[in-house]
Amino acid sequence: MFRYVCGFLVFYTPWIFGFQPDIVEYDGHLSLNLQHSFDHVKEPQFFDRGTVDIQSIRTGAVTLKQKPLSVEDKQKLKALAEKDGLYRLRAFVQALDGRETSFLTFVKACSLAESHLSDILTVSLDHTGSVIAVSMSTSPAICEGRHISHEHLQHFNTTVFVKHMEQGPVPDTAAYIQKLEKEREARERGETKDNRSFLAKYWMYIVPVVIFVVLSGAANPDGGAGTGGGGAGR
Amino acid sequence: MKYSVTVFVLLTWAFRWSFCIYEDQIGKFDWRQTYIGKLKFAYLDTISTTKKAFVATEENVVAALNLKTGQIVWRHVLEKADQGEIQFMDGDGDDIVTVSGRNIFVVRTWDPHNGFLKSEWTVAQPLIRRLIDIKWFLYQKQLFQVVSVALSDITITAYNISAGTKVSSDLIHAPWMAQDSRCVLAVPYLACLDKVGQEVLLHSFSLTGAGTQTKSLSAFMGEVKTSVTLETVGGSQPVVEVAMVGNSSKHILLLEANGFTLYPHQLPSAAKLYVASYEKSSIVLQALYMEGWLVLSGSTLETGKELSDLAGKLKYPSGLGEGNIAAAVCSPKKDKGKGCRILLVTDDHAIALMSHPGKFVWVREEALASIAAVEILDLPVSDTDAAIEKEFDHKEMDFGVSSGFVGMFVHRLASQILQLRSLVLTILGLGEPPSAGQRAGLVRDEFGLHKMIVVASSAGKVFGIDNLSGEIIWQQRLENVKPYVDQATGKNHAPFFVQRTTRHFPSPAQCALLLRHKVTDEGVLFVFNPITGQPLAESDGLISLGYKVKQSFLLHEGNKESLRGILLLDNEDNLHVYPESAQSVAVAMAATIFIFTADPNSGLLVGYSLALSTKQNLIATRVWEIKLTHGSQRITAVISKSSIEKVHSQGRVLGDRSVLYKYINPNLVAVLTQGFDPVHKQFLNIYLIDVVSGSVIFSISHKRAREPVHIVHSENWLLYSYFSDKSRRTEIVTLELYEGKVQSNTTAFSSVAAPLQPIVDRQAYILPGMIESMKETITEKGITSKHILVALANGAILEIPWVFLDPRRPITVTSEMREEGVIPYMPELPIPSEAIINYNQTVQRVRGIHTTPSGLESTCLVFVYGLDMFYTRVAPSKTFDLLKEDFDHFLITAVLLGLTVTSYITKKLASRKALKQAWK
Repeated sequence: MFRYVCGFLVFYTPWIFGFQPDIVEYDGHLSLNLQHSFDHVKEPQFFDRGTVDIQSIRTGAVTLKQKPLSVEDKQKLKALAEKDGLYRLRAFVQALDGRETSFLTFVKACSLAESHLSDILTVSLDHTGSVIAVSMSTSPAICEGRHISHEHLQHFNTTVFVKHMEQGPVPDTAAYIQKLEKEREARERGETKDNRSFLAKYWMYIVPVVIFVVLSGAANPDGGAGTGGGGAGR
Repeated sequence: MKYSVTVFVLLTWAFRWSFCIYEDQIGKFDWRQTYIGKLKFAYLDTISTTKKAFVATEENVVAALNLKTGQIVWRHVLEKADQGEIQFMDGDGDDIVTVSGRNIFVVRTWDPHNGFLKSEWTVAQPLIRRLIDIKWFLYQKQLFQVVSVALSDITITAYNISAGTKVSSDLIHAPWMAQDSRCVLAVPYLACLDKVGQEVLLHSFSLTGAGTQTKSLSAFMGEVKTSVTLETVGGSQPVVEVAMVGNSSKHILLLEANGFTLYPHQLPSAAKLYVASYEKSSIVLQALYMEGWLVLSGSTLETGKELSDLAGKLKYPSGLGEGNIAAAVCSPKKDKGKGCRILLVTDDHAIALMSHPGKFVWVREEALASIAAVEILDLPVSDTDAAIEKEFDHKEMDFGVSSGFVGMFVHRLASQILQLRSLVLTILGLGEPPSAGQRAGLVRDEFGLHKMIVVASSAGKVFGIDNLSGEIIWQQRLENVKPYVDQATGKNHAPFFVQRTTRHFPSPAQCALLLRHKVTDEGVLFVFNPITGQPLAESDGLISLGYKVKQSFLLHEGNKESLRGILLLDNEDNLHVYPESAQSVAVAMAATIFIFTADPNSGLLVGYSLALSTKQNLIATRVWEIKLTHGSQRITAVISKSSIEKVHSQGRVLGDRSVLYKYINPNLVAVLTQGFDPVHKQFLNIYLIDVVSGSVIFSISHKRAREPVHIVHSENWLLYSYFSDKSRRTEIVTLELYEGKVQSNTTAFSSVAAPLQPIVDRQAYILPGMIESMKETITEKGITSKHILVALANGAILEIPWVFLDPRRPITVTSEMREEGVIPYMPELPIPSEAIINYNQTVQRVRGIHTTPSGLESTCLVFVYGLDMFYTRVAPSKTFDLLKEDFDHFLITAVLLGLTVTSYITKKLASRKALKQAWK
């Protein structure tokens, strides 16, 4: 009955999601106890779903141990999906100092069923590395009312992300001063090599001349024609 | 060359940043009102030519008021909070002396005529265990400090008021004095009650010379129970009042060097007393409230003889709460008899001056110095527009004709006949008078610039203020209610709900204010018409909810009467709807309603779904829980976006002509937590949380950053300011959230279906100034660009365009960036004086800025409140939809007319010429 799904390791790639901070001052191990509920009532009953072990919160290496869904649970999930109910997940996190905190999260039951139990757990940490939130989503997160057969609702295909807190920006005075310095030096060394084209460089002188020529030509059209005519007559 | 380009770009921007007004526009769109706050100490000066009242208030303000008009002659705002808390104020003709501060007392003397600071010196608070309190008084040009120490002694130190030098110091042994001993100051005596078994002793110490008198109260008052209260009676003589709890009368005692004299009569315990000097004698003034009347009487202190010319009653203004006499002076009147000027301070913070016998001379509504909630609302349509509205309102059909074009036609005829009739009647002077609002000019104008500012004060008063003139149109005093207090910051706030706007004629506009009961803490709703101030429920508009409210919000759809219901979550997680009739609307929307609550101390955020609601009851089910804080950390702010905000532009066009789509999540809330730890020192964390799904979208942390923290959250960006402890300056950080180059959902945003991670741009700036409050501008359709209004500690309100705070400002500008319109990064934000929207109208102690859209897309109405109130309007993208003030209507008409005439003449001439040519 208790068949454990083999450890599913996710090496979380920082450049995809871009929430790896520059410096993570902490590291450690986290263990999450998951309990879930398929009840559509105010005070639902939670049953064990499995555990998530985050071996290193810095790298995000994870071991998952989750029970497959029983037939009864599958039926409950499908019934919940039909009612457009919410699948609720409770996570108990054991911190390094032994304190246990509980978090609650939910997804729409239909999207969990339609994604064939592919869910994403995001564990958010604060600046000291303590867990502040565990939230769940599914991939894909759609609810189209498709019929789901039982064999698709066998094992949870869970992905775990560890989300670190980012370091706040500070006014970048150093870079700005450097830039000013550079500009000043450039000015002192004389004009930097200007490799723009002739027109790009001197358009402000050329344009007025052209305009002047055009305007004077336009203002005096028959004068020019008259002179020309006079010349021809001579 | 590059440098000059930068300068050029900056200059162009600086030119675009000139929103300043011309000199002749001063006071045209704006007004300012100055206040002083709730009165604490008062002193009347009647000697100098312009009679003044000197006051010190709980807002740490020292001011002089003109006794004739109530206007401020001069005002000084002392340091904020405890540092400037005024402990004492009095005057002696030549000087006004104030003592302010905690731990270190700052003694200042002011010139009474012009308010100039004459001297300033400090006294450190003695570090004594069992210190009861420190009292101050002014006596014969010396400032006395009375330090009472429990079970030990009383030290009296006299200081020279101008130099601050110690003149003398006395010690009185008082080993009987307990920590809870009640001692009152009746200059120049100190009176204390001492309970010895069944006996109550009254000690009186002369503070200027040695001498202690001790007597048993029962000796001259008959039987005395132990529950006795001792209060000082203000005024020129050392008088105290002694009352027994539950008794309907009280005694007053005059303290003398050789004992006490009992005033011959007993006085009702509800009477407010004051001793005013009159020529050589003293008068006990007595004020009693009786059903809308203030009954005043006066009698001589020595004999108790009633003075007939001071007896009388006065109609008490209905909006004013009961008050105490803060100061009074009596003088002989020109004709005959006596007259008194009485300064009243009421429990709704108003300050009033009465001329007795006679009337109220002026009333200052100081409740406006502690505003807890603001809303700016449209005025109703004019009577003629209302008639047209009525015509098209199908519910009004009562002619027995079916709707459709025939019915409409009949209706139109009927309404035109009615209009004709009313016109004839008006001409004949028989017509019904216009409505009150119409008479007062309170009707909507074409541009929607004329509005009603509704403010709720912490003093339990609600005001309706005309936004153009700043005049108070109506006021309502609410009894036994107080606003909610933010647990983390201690700020007062009262949720304000606009249930129905004026747009739904003929139903009146309806607003509700959520307050709590003074004693039970249970929720109380005040339901009223925001235009007239009339209560719309019960007789006084107050609805006791009978439970403590944890969370409240307005449903986004109205019921049949276009009334939007208020959903309230109580402490036991039960849901209630006000009014009951909105229940069906709430049930219909229940599947998509999510609520969240935040507990500042535990850091627990809980999300609820209403999906399980049945037709009969709404059920809130917990669907997510997150815990943001550990240890000493606390949630200090939860900032959501404005519910009326519209985002016009879905993306930002980049230099390469591609679009960067904005991450516009209406359910995004910024949560600020602050704490201290040995590694990070003072730190602050900001979390962006989707409150429907309960997921943390983004979080950021700052080390060595402390309050004041101000957050503005709007569109796809967040802006916050904090004080950097490391660099000792105010820094502003902006975050901008983008979805990316593709938009995930073009029709509507879903928090449940779109768990995408936004791209976050960030940048930090330095602002050379201290920030008191911040707010973004808002316009009708969101087309106009956004500006940030920043209230600075020096009383200026700065308008910063968003482009200056844009997180995409690069250090080195590429041509692509220039194409996009971003300006190069400069760490320090300039404060040009042209961007100060209140020019020289300094606004002190700003507590909040309220912005509201006007009917014009270009214009945003701004209301700044705090100790002072300031109203103006700003046009972030200039008034592109409005003609200039100085637009020359005459010239354009003349030119048009001229052109038309010329074209006609030339036409005539041309036809004549053509005719002539034809004849040739």
